Amino acid sequence: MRGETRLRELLTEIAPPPEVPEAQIDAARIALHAAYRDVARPVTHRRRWSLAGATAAIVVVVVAVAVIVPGSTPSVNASLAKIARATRALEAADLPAGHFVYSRLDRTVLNGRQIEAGAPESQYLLSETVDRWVQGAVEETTTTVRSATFFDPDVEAAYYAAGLDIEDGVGETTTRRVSDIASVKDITKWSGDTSTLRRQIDTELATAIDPVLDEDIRTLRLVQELMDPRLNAPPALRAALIEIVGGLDVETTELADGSVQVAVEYEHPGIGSFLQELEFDSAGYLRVSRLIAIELEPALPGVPRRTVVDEAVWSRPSVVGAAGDLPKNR
Amino acid sequence: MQDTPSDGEAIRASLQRPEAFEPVFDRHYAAIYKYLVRRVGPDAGGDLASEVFTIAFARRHDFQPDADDARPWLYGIASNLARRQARTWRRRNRAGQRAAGGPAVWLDPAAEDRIHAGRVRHVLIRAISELRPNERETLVLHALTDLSYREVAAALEIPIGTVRSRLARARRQVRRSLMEAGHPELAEELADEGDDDEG
Repeated sequence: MRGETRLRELLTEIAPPPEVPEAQIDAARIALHAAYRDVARPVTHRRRWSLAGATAAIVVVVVAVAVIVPGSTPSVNASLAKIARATRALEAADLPAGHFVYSRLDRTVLNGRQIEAGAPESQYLLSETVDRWVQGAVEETTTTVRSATFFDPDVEAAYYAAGLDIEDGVGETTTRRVSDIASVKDITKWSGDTSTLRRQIDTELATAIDPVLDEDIRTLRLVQELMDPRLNAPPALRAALIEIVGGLDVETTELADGSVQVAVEYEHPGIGSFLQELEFDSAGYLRVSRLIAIELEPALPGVPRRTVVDEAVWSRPSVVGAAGDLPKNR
Repeated sequence: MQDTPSDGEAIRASLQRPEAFEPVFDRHYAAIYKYLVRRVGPDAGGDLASEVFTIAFARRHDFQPDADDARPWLYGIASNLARRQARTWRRRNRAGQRAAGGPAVWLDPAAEDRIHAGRVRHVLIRAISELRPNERETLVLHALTDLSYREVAAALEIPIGTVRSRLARARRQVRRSLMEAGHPELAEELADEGDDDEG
């Protein structure tokens, strides 16, 4: 034991234990909290979702899976290239001072709740509609929780008997104002040139996103974040983002209305296997994100394989004069 | 009644509530950071320490259900990441792309010149760096942390007997290198009487 002790002493002299900078702790904690959110998003949600968190970055992607939609023509990146070209030709809309970017989000997410003490959480789907008005870092939202949908009628009966629909706010509409949307990125710093944007994304990925997932997945995740209609990305940036998606290992399907669906399957270690579907419309807007849990690890009681655990459907962004205004062409 | 949950309790609770994982981070981040910085330098060490916890969180289902202390598990992840980092640097060195101003990797022989130490230390570092990888990993994990033999075994997923034999061989080899380098007095200081019976 003497030699062992002496070796420790020598190593301490050579490489003394360092101080732990507060900044390192903070950065590590932020990364860990991002991982919490990734997990919480697909499988369990508290009664009221954080709008900023809910829409900022949806869990994501890899490996190609063919998804054949009836009436659609399967193709590979050419369909995304076509949308990118059409999008790049569009003119950027002005956002006059004092105006807001409006968008609507219809979202359905798998939600978990403990209905009886000591029992495992019961799973169900909770749907809501969110109208969002954004001006800079200020966001006002009106949220209506539309419905809860159950996999098991007994769980449904117990849920209502326990009054959990009231806790979930089913049928209620709430308005809130957030004065600093921390999750919203500064859209102006991202280039509309695809090569430059790719470098920016690589730089961002090197420091900012969950390293557990494959790089293609992390790329797609960032693309989704930048495509959030709240950011109202200009056409050149949308086009560049779509071209980057087209360069990933994804399967694309052109839909009957000219939109393109991207489908990718991926493993999230410790959580399960997922299929992510995204749909870009003909003007290069992200309109649908659909996350399907192929298999969860461990399985959640009552949740069938291939359940859609998170679906978001966005309107295109519109410019309106005031929070609460709706676009005239709706 | 405990004020804070044990590691095992926190990890099990985090299966339902991710934020329940927090005490594991609070309790062990500093030690993991120090361990990794001592192995791979402050730049990579900081990144890897963060990665240890995101990986541990992602793989929390794998945590042994009957275990309470997360340290062996976390150090096991940290050791894997440190090995991966060292491999990356070795490949880079072989390709002649050694980065100027890179981290002070005291286990990496290519970085010896960055260590401001006297000749004896230089020789000791070389001796450790020239050990077989498995023996070096075991020796370093044991020497830089407060893990017992049993916990080192759990971290590296090897039998405790293997830990003992690797450590014995590693120390013998280090002593031999010190003797050959003309430092018999230091070699003698590192000698053990009787074998290790910890654990």
